[in-house]
Amino acid sequence: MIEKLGNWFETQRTQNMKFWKLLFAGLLVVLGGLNFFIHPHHVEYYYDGYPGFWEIFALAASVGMVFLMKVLIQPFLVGPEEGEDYTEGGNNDH
Amino acid sequence: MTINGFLHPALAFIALAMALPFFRGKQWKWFLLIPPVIAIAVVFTATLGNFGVIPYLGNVLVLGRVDKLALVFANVFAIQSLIGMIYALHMDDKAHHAAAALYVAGSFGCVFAGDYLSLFIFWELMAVASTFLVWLHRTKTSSAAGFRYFLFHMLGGLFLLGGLLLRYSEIGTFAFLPVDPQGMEYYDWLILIGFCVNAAVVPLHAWLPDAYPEATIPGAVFMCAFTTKTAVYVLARGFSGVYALAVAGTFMAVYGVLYASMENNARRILSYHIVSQVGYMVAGIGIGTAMCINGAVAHAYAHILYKGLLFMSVGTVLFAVGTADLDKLGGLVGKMPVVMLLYMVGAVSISGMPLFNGFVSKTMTITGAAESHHTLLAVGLEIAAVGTFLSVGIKLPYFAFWNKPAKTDLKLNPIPKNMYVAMGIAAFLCFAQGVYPQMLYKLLPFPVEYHPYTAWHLLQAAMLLSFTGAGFWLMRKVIVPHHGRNLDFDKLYRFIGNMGLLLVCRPIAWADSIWTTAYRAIGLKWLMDSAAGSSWFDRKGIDTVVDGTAYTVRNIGKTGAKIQTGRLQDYLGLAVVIAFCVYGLVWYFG
Repeated sequence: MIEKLGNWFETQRTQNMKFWKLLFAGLLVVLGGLNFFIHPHHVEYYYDGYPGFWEIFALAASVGMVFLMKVLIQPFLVGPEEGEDYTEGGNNDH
Repeated sequence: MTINGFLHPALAFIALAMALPFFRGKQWKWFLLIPPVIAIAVVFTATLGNFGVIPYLGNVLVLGRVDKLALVFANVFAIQSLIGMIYALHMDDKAHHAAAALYVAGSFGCVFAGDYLSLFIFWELMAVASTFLVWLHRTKTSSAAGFRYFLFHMLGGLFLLGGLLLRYSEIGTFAFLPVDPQGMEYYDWLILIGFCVNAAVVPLHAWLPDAYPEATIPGAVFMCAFTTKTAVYVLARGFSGVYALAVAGTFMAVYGVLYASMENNARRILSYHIVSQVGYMVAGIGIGTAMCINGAVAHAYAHILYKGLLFMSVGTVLFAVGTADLDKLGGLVGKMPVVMLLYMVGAVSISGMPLFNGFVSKTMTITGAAESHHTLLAVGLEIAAVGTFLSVGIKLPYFAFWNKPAKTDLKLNPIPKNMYVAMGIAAFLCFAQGVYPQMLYKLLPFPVEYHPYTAWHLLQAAMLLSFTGAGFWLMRKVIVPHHGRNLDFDKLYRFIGNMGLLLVCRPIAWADSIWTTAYRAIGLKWLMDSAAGSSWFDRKGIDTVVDGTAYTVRNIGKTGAKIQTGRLQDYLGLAVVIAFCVYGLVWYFG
């Protein structure tokens, strides 16, 4: 059963990605649309009540965070790893 | 084993640790499950009150302060100890089980301690025992990381000890009571710093992402649950409403996710997310309203379950594949689908997805911050929520399970069934608390008036998570993990340590050099002269007297021997001579 499940996931990963991408894009559209009809019970932040605020907030925060840390900051911080992994299971081939 | 009717869970774990070396045969591992089962029974049946009160130095030590706040932490500690012990069942290393048992005992001791002195003793027990969970990984890096971990926790312990002793000298009591946030004394700040070390408050946090990835696989599962959450408990107990904590907590929440977004090692990513998630709790405690305290405590409870699950599933990957570095993983979904699903339960829980326990706890703290008009703090916590889903919910599983085909020659180490059982229990609890929040809310210290399942909360969570996913998709080629270790405050600690060593060594080396020169110029000459004098005295004084006496005795002996010829006529002649001499003397002087 585990093998079947693994094979199903592997199929989705390799052959069905287009379907999942479309589904995800549809979800974004639906959520953006719902935001025009569902509002906070009372506004917690100034822009909280405007449709699109949280969508832009999440998108900007995630893109900005990656850009800030991976592009601007990490080149100045990264150094060599100190050691190797080791497992109690004894599988040290990596 | 009972103290006035209350069976302290720590006693069961200490007894297990002491008995472990004497266990023989193959069935001894089942004994590992007895203390957690006892602990669960105790926390679900305990009555409120003070137990184990011991008079000491005119004060009282309270080993069993059982109230709602203590019980909620003890509750999740008991459950997590059972999950951790099940996860570690395949291990034969008794030292590891003993260290884990003492570590859990220490955390129970801290939670039920009603005074600072007994708290300190259990606090240190935790520090020592958890160090062994790092060292018992038995690698060069784990030895070094464990030593750094130990040193840092000893430093934190000294702040706590200094604070509690100074407090005792000022107010004459060890009682562990809440401080007045507006009137904190210097010793309160010392104690707070000691607590902040264990809570991994930035910049005192770097021991955590340094040590946890180096611990044994089950060791990290234990460690992610107890050290920081014990610190959260003592902060909630003693320092709620201290605004500095609100700011520090929000900073932690953001700092942790920023570092996690560029990390490569999966266990280090999760470690940075402990810093971040504990940040929510510290911020809630710092804001100090009933909703925020409830949120902090609820989040601590939920966090122990989902973070344990995350460390277990990543630990399982490490166990099976041999590495937790994302740049060396990929495509594991086909080979480890159940592990991936269990991981995702933890991932969506920490990300605050509806139906999972992070949603019912995290949003309480954020809403509490916003409703108490701490808008900036609430926005900071929302940014951290985005970063959490970005790293733990998407980046880590994407690069470990989905990104590329698994290596064709990859052979997985068989995963013991006990690991699946432990992860399954944790996943079930994460889901159960998510769909039935009252299971968690009824344990909280204050009445809960928060309803997570409103249309707006659901939509807001869905929007945050989905558009974070969109952000990841846009940046998926930038966020690719790279092999390497990112500079953090631990480098600063080491720099400060080396500078301190330099500052100590340089003057000592200089003084030693001066002393050596002075010794050669003055001391050595004086020593040589005094040696020459002693030699002369020995020859002229001691030798003259002692040797002269010896020579005289010897010569007298020789002369006496010559006189004693053994012939009677010689003795008669000598007697006549002596008689004449005596007669002559008498005649002369008479």
